[in-house]
Amino acid sequence: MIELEEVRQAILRAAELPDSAAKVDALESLCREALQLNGFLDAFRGQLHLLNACKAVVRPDRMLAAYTALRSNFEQHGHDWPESLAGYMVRAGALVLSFVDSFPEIPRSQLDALFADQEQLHLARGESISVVLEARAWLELDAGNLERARDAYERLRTTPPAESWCAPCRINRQVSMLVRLDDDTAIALAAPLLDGPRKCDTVPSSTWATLLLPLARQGNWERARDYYGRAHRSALSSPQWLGSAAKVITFAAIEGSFVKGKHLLERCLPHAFEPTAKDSIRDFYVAASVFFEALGRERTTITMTTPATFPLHARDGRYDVAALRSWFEDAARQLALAFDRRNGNDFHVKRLATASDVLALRPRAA
Amino acid sequence: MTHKFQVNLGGIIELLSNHLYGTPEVYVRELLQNGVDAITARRAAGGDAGHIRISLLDAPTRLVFEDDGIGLTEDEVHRFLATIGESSKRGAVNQKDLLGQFGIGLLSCFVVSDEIMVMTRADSSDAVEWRGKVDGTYSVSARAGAESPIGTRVELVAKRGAEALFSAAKVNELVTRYGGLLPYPIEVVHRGGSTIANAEPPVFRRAVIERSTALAYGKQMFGEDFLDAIVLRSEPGDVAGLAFVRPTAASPGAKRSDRVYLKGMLLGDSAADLLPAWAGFVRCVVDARDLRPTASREAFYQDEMLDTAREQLARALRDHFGKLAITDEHALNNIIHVHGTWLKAMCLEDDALFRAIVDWFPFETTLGLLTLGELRRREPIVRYSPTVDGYRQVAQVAAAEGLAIVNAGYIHDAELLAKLPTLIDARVEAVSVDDIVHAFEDVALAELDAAHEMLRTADVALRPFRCIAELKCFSPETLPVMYAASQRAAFRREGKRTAEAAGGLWGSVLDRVVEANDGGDDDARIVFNHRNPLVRRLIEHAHDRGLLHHTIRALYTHALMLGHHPLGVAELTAMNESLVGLVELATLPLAVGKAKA
Repeated sequence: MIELEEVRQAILRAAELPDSAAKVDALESLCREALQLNGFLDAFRGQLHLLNACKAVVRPDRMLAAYTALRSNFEQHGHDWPESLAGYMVRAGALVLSFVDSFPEIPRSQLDALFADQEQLHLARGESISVVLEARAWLELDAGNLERARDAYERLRTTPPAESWCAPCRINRQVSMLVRLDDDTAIALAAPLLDGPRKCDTVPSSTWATLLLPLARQGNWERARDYYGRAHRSALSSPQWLGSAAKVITFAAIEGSFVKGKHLLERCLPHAFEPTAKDSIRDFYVAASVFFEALGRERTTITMTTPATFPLHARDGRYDVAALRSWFEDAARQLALAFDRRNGNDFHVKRLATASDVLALRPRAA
Repeated sequence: MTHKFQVNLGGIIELLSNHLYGTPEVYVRELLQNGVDAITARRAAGGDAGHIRISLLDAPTRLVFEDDGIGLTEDEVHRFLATIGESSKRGAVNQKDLLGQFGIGLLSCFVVSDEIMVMTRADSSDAVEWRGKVDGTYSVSARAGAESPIGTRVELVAKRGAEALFSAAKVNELVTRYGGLLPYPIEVVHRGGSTIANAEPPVFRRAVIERSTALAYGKQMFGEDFLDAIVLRSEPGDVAGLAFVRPTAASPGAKRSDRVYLKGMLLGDSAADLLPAWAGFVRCVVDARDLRPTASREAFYQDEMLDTAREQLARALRDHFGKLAITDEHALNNIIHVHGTWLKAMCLEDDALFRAIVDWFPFETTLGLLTLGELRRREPIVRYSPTVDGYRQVAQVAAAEGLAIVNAGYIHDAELLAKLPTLIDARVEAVSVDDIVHAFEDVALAELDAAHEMLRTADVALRPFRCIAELKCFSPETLPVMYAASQRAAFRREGKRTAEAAGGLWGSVLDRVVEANDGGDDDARIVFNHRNPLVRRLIEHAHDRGLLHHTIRALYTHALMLGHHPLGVAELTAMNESLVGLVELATLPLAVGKAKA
């Protein structure tokens, strides 16, 4: 018969394993064992590790299931545990919140329930609900519900930020939200990140990409090109950030900067065929289709290095530009439909249909 | 029940006289100090005093020290000369006006003499003779009616081995060194002749000091032709002095060599207590009237007043260089040329000085040696490499491309440039070789298409080295390739190389550390120069995979060496194999021709 001590040791060992599907399986199983042996606290610790592993291997469904089990365990037995574990509970919720809305397979009703539960949990702990408000604002923005997004943003703006937040990252995220609502305010809010002392590991490198389209829309090309150079360089060194790369590729298409755009596409493409946040993949596909739309206006073929996982992969690296545009547009449409189904509207499909309109921003040669 | 400590008097005298002081020479200083304090006390009481005489006598070798100060009564002799820690320097005279305060100074004479004889007479009292011995015993005898003037006479007989310290040359040297700034004349008498050791008052106490006068004083004091002289003043501590800018570069680790006086009496040879650490390029002479000495009288007591005085003197130095930027650029340039590193350190601590002189600092740049001011006039953005290695990697290409890059890899330079935009309206960017490469001109899409096969072959050939190929246009066109690595990629490569060299357990530990820090997606880059004829030929002959493979690997190792990157084992192997392969390819037609013949 298995003793609780054995399970406890096994959980600790499993937590040390590199992230993989097998680790997720092992931790799920061990947490169940611990619960059956009344090792609720051991199960809680295992469940925390499980959440991180689910995120690492991009399994939002299992992450939500793990969170539900964790929440239930805490609700039933947490009153006897050290106070610090309640803080872990809150942070675990924030981790889930910031991740699962990137996947259309998670139903909206489940997301709404999660938000409500998290808001209640934060308030009960006397902690700022900014993390919940921010996640809600993102969800509404991504669903195209601009009024609701604006409301959530206003609430977020007037709520004290969570103590653990990095200030430049917090502002940067607000700038990213605002570019979908109001270019002027977004650019003004970004000023201290770009010219002032507010910097961190990711800011302002991600801010440059965020501001490319707003600056182009304003006709501020000099500044946009300056940021484009920086954002392109930054995106090349972190090609796994597909959402950020999508913004740079879109600007490359507008500018007709095909060499740089192609280079970045080649670097990012392998990541689009790995498990990752689906909203980022969707945005990347949209950007790629816009890029090939622009390129197709100038040439019919191109050589590219693509991963073997790319369905159109050609060993000689020669591609028909129209075929590439078509593939990316179709792939983007599939994801847009999935997100629209979740959101109960046609926001993304419509957005995709008009995505190439940004090419009209391209300044005419003097 | 309480008990009193028992004191071994002989042991205490041994401790104080032989271990408290750094050198036996201080006996002259202690005698001078007692004499000056006695004179000060008598003058405070309305007396007319102010003369010290030191007579040097032979057979036996001895020294007689006389002052016309306040003297001691018999009671005072018992109290002050025989009680350690009891200083006579109390009462009517303001304590801060006196040099000694601890009642231990006379004991230093036991370092050079086994017996101290003191004859002293206070006003309206009989003379008293006190004889103290190194074993802790003493005797006192009244000398009623003796023809003795008011004042004190100390006689020391040189003990065996201390005779040299009683020679006329030595005593003159010690009196000048320790008492050269004292306010009362000190006469040294020897074999009928006499000299005044401190005839000239110090120039730095004057209200106005000419630069030439100050420099001449510096030369007299230290024997050096200094570049500049700076007046030092601090009201807290009543400190005055001069700092002299040394004519040659000073090593940061070098011991300070100054003259530090307390009320005209030499305290020590280092102003480290008084000057900031960045002031190593000056030697100074300072006199503090209100600071407190430590018991050994070889340093100042660390208190708030000393802190304030130190700040004031630092301010005086910084203000001087700030003014030079306006009044004498030539002098400032000379000083920066010799002591730039020290001045940069000063600028990092002082924003006003930074603003005043930062444009005068010269920097090594890819366009040659330029001052920051010249560079800022030429370039809207000051770009710099924070490391010497990084600079070396970009220097050749940046110069050919006309890019001005500053080598900020030397001490303080990167910090100085990073501080620039916080104080001055200037744009500054730290750049790496990766940034430079990114700024190179893109080739046209059609040219990129044409080079696709060559670039992919290069990717395959260089995959073991986690390096990918790119094609750009850059100068000089004679350079076929350039190696560029982000910080992460460079760390990984360097780590792998070190692990290879270390081998064994440590090698595997290093390997694991490198892998743990591997972002996984940050490959180094080899950038082919489309302007280079060899590269264009490679593109044309991309179908010849064997030739291309060897050439690319040879170019890769060549680029590493050009960038000052040491080769690892795998890279050395690749270099050798590619050279042999190329030689084989080159000689193959010869071998075939010979066989046919």
